[in-house]
Amino acid sequence: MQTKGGEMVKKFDIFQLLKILIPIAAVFLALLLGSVLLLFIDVNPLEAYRYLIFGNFTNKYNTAEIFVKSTPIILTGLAFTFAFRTGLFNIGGEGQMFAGAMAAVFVGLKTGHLSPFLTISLSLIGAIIAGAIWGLIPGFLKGIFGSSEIIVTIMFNYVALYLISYLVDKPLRESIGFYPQTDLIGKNAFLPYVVPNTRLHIGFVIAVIISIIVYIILWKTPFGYRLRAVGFNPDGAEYSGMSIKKSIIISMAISGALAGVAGFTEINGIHHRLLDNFSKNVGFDGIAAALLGSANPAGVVVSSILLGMLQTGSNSMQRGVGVPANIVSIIQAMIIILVLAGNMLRPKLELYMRRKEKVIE
Amino acid sequence: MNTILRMVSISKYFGTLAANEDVNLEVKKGEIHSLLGENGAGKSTLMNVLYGLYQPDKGEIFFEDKKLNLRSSKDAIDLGIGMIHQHFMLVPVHTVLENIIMGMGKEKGLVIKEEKLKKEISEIAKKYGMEISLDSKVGNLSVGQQQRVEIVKALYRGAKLLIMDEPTAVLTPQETEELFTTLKIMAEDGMSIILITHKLKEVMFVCDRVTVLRDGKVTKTIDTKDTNELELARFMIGRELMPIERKQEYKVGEPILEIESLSHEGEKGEKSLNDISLTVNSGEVLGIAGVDGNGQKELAEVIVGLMKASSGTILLDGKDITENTIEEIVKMGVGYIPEDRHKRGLILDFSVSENLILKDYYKKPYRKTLFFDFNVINKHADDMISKYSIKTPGRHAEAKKLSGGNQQKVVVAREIHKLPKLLIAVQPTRGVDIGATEFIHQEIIKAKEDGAAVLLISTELSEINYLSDRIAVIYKGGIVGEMDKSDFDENRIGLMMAGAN
Amino acid sequence: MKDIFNITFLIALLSASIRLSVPILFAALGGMYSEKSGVVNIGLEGMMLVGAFAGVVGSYFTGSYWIGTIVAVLSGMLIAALFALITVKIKINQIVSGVAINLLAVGITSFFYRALFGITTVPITVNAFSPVSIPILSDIPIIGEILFKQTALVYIAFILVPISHYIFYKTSLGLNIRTVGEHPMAADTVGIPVEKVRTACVLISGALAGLGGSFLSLGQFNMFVDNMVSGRGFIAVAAVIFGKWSPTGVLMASLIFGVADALQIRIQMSGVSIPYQFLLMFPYILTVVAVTGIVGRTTSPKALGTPYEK
Repeated sequence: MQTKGGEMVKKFDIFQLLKILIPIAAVFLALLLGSVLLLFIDVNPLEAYRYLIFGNFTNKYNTAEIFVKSTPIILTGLAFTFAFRTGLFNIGGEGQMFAGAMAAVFVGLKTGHLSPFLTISLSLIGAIIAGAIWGLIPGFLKGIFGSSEIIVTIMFNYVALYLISYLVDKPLRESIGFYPQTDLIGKNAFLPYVVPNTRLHIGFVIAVIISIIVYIILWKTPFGYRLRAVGFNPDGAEYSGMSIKKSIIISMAISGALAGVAGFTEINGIHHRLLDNFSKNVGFDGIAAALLGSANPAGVVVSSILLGMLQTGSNSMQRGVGVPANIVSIIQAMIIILVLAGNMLRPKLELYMRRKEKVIE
Repeated sequence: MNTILRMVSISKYFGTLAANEDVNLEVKKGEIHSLLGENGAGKSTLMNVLYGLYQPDKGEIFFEDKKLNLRSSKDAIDLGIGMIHQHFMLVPVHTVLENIIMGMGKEKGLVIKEEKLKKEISEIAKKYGMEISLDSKVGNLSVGQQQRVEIVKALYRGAKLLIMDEPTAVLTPQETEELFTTLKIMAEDGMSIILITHKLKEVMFVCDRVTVLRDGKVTKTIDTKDTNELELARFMIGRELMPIERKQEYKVGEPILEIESLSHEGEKGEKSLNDISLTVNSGEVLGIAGVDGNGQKELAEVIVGLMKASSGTILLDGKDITENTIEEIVKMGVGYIPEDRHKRGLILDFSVSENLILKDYYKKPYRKTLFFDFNVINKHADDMISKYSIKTPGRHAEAKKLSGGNQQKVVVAREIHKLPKLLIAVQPTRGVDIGATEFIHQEIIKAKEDGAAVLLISTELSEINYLSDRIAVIYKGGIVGEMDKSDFDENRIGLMMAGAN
Repeated sequence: MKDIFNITFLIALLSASIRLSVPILFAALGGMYSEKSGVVNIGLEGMMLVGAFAGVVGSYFTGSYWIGTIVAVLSGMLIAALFALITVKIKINQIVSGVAINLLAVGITSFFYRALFGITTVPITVNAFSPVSIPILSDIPIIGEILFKQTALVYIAFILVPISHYIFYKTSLGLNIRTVGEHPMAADTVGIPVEKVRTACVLISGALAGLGGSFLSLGQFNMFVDNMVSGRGFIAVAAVIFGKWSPTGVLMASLIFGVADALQIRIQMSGVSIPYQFLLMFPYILTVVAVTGIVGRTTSPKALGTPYEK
């Protein structure tokens, strides 16, 4: 690139910098707004944030927790991302995760005595299939009848929620004890730990590997090309012979499968049994991560880790200064809004900066 | 006050593009003034500034000798400036009445007093000899009727200056005559009219004066009685149009496309194609003329397999393709330049190289096992970009960043470079600048000379005349006339386009 | 089971149906205003939640449920103002914005609940509305029992239906709204302020959603619990589609969901051996059926979901 006294190079850098600057600025602004809330409840923001940020690193266990928490978020985030790239809004990651969890528990209870490799693989496959089905149905309804996948997937969240409630209440309720939960799955179905004395299991590794696979599928294969084409412009895609209906259905199935894997990681890696209200709201955290990560697998992973940090830190913060942990959901929501706003305003900013240059020339 | 409008030194920039630069425009009272220029010359921008939709970056506007500070189109309307856009600003599901009164809450009150309003509107319509039915839904009206609604809408708001943007683009020659008669009545009554157009004949026929724009600047302002079409063309384009290179003799070969009694029914049961039969031979261009909306789109899409015929047969090189899917038909060697490149032709968010493989993306050599082979894809893109002179920041640039002409070149490159047996081109140069238009016309001729059968569907008679060897006219879904190029007669064709025989 | 066909049962069922349809009706009417102007609002859920919470707070601290209701309306509008800012002004995708608003609402309500009331084991309860019988009309046998012995907010909800119809089809304001929703560019060219109209409609949707939420907390449950809206906001969005964006259609749709909800409760209580979880699923499955059976595309406002840019 030709440089005219170094000016052109500088211009190039600023635009690239903006892409990273915006999320960082958003986080800062959100924390700032959060501190207003903290002041409202008579808590010193600086002290609270000290716990929030550094509570993550006080010991090995906490640091590992970041990745533990981020695992299902990565997966539900990928689920939203995959559907989003095909032009669909899958708000049902929560329910698809539940479906995957139900399958994983079922498989884990029945086959948990087999070799670890076998039972874990079967559990994973079961979760994938269950999640795929839970995503396929809304996809089918959208493809064939044109029903809003937004509404259908949200409704299916509630259906899955109540289904689990029923399962742990009656048919699968634990054999001893009175809690609404199932028995533990067979020992061999437990996911091995990556770091001893922490909760960090190989589910995290699986999630990262899956994110790489998603990236490759969407951008490096004709299959992904087809899905993205349908997402951007169904009419143009139709011209090239792609079946819109088929693409919608396949995409929702894959999206659901990805969220289903989150059910697998949470059951086989953390809870080891099915219970009411496990992994609360992870589906929506995934959507948050996807939005923060610009619907881009690498971005999703990074954002999920960030959200994992927020959640782990918030527990420290609650123990340390008594701030309700759910202030973090407010901060999370504000980060999303600010990042989205920043991204929308970025091209206008760029245009303004470019125009200034032309007039000067 | 003889001059009703004066625009002085108007400049408007979009980013680094100067859409208008130092433009001066003056319109006299009761005058029909043409704003002439090619696509992209800056006519619409200038009028949007006048109408308050854009703020000028430099310059001033004087209306009835008062300096204007327009902050919105409402300001312009209140002053008596009315604009009728090329794409009508009408709501199809609203009635004619609702379309005319919308936005007039302040003047006409919160509650809609139907009887009173209907009376007022009918009076105005009658004054200029226009008939409109106030309770019909606008979506059900013909194009000419819709335009009338637009005119009444402007008059009802007290327009003293009427701006019409390419009003005849969607009219038959006869409807155009009716419109011009109405305009002349209005002008005699004191209405001032600005006619935005690129059609030289119309300028000479109905306008008193003309201001020519080129690349955002004024090249000439002159009385029409002091000039002629050729001169205006030069002011518009700045150079002589390049004559099309073609070999004198062309060999017409075997019939490639044979359509027999083809019909197509739309969703509401209306027949969009009515028993059409035609043949296109290899090495010739069959041009189908007609006013937009007479079945052109359906004809193209049925042939290509995007829509299903309800009856009839289509043969491609002897093979029956009536029931085939678009994928199969494309595989057999058909190229399609669609009417709306943003819809059918391109995926705007995809890069240039991704768009170039839109039809072949799953084929080898672009695909290697399950993955793309980017070396092959990139090389192909580079080849196409240079061969078809596509101006783009790079092969990775998103198609939406290209100009209309270059976007169309991407489509043309993709459809023609594989030497299709049959090329269907619908409105191939709509919204395309002059340079790209010439290039595309050249490519179509070349394709024909390489043996392709070309079905050209266009509303631009000059384009039809230029490129076709044989000409047919489509009206209400049927072919109403066929002739050889040598028998081309614009009046006769105009009558056929309007359904008169 | 035999009770189901008893007339007393039917009266109680229909009376309850009306009550249960009201939160959805309020939110759906609000959603309708928003969508008629072209803005998809799936943040209704969050706005209802905020309204539910604010209603309890206002009622708790002043002892008056009317003030609680007003606070709920204002809070709903506040959240809606943020939603309007990001969708109409900054023009972020409306679906994504709605999701973000819902997340924010969940966070805000649970945070402030704990901040104000501490971490309690028993939820704070508040005074509820008492039923207001309409004179004369409430004496009509059966119908009087069902329709005219409801609480004040119920009457308000139902009155809003014909009022909305009048606004949309007989006033210039309503025409402006509809024009903005169908063809914002055309609206702009005749001087209708597109962004102002959309913002106003979004604010109305927030006000009505807040009202619907406060009805849940003040009129039905008499308390605030985390996530108490349980998807009703989304059902309201479905009701707008199912009701084809018309006030009477929305009314019908809301009533149907109200009946489903009332039925489900009564079946639970009647001791039929269907596990209660499946009965709870019923309204949600019904919603799926509703949006599948309708070809919503052809009757939706044409510019729905698209931010307007000149």
